[in-house]
Amino acid sequence: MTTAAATPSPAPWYYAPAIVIVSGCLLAMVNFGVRSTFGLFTAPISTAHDWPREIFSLGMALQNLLWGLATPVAGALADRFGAARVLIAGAFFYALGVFVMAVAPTPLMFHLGGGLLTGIGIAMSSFGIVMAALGRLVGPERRSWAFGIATAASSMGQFIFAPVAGALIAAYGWQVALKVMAALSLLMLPLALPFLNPRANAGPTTANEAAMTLRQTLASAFSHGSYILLVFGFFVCGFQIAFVTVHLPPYLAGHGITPEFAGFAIAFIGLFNIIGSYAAGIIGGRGNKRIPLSLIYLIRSVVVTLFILTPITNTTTLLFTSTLGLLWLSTVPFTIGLVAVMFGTRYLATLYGFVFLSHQIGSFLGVWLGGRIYDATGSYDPVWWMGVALGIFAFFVHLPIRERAAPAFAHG
Amino acid sequence: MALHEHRLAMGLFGGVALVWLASLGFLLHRAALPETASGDMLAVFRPGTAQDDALFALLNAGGTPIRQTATGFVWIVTDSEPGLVGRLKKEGMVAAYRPLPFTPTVAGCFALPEGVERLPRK
Repeated sequence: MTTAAATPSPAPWYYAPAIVIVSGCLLAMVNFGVRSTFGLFTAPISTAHDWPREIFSLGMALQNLLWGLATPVAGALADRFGAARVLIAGAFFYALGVFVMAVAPTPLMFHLGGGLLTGIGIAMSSFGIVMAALGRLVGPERRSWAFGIATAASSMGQFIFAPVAGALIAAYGWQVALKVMAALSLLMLPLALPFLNPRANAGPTTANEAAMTLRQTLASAFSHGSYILLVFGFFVCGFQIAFVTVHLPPYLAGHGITPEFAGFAIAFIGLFNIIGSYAAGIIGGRGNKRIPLSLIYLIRSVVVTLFILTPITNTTTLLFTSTLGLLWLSTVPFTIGLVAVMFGTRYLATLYGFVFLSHQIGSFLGVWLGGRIYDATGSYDPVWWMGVALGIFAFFVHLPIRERAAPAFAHG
Repeated sequence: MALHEHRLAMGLFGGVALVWLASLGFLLHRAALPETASGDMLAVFRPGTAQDDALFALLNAGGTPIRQTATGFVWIVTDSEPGLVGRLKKEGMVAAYRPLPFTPTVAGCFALPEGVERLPRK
């Protein structure tokens, strides 16, 4: 008598690491891309409803706030219940929120859709969750590369979605354009399926890492000096990037650069950002992450100093934006890579979520102070210098980081 | 880093760029103004068109040039008489669009609360 040996069913084709990585990149592209188009809808939505700009602005402010606050929570849920479930829920919230933006008849409804639902959706489908899952999926030797390609994909998303949304508005009107954006957000649903791969949710862990609860991990992280330094450092990244994103166009206009050329120059940031992010992933994979990360902040300060001290011309603007593009999101692969080195990948989404929250606080201050100080002094120069000083601060803050497992996670 | 990883990255980004270009081409075709349209518009000439040639084309078509954009071959022009697009096409213009909200957006982690054109300027 023979009994059929229980053979495990073959893993679905979409569990292949390359498919998971490509899906993760496309997901990050959609997540970053759709939200990058919202600024284009300010005027059409406000005009159509006869709302003051404040209504739209408050919706976007709520969105950013909830995105930052929800990211660590979404990370914890992903670490606990698996990335795929959280990404799917995030895609659903994201699409619903954008759809509600398109049809909202009242400010309250608009804030509910564009602020609450979209903010939570962005957090739950964010590239932090994707990168944490990719970090588990691939071995330590390819981890930094995976972080780099996911960051580059996010950068590309913002670069390519804005013109598409602009053309959609021109061809079909803002309401149809927003509904198309909502439909595109739903693309994240199938893209999340490969993240059901068990290896993306429970990668190899050390014995110490496996024994730690989330609470113990958080306690360990917030009593670990190097993690705290990383949190402070990423605040600077948020401050600098958000300030430049929002205030560079009016700064250039104030120095006689035409809006079209300013737009062209800003597109260079997006383009070079893709290259910089990918290159950062490769460099981080060669070993040291701390020194390149420190140098990024130092070089940012040098580049900004040169830019504001020399006469602003088309040439210096292009040199500035292309160099800044290389240094733009290139901090991300190093930063999340350092978190993985210190604490492993089991709670990576949660721990990166807290680092990212600091980034968002920096973003808020960069945008707000930029406007506030400009209104008070009539010049952006004080905020540029503040960014330079913060960059030097971040350079020194990252140098003492110990690039090894935190004590509770070592020798597992 | 194995060559395999770089090939994957190039394939991914190249594929996305192709889909993007095709989508954008289709959408720009759909967004082009009909020949009867008038009012403020972006008049797109072939890249490399001399400034004088474009200017003469705009004037010959009865349009009022507002300004040349940074790209050189795209002009902002206006006229209240119907059929400006048709007249411009006869003078060599490729396509016309309503001013597109093509605000470039860079990858940061802060969604713009307002269009940059609304921000205070020095």
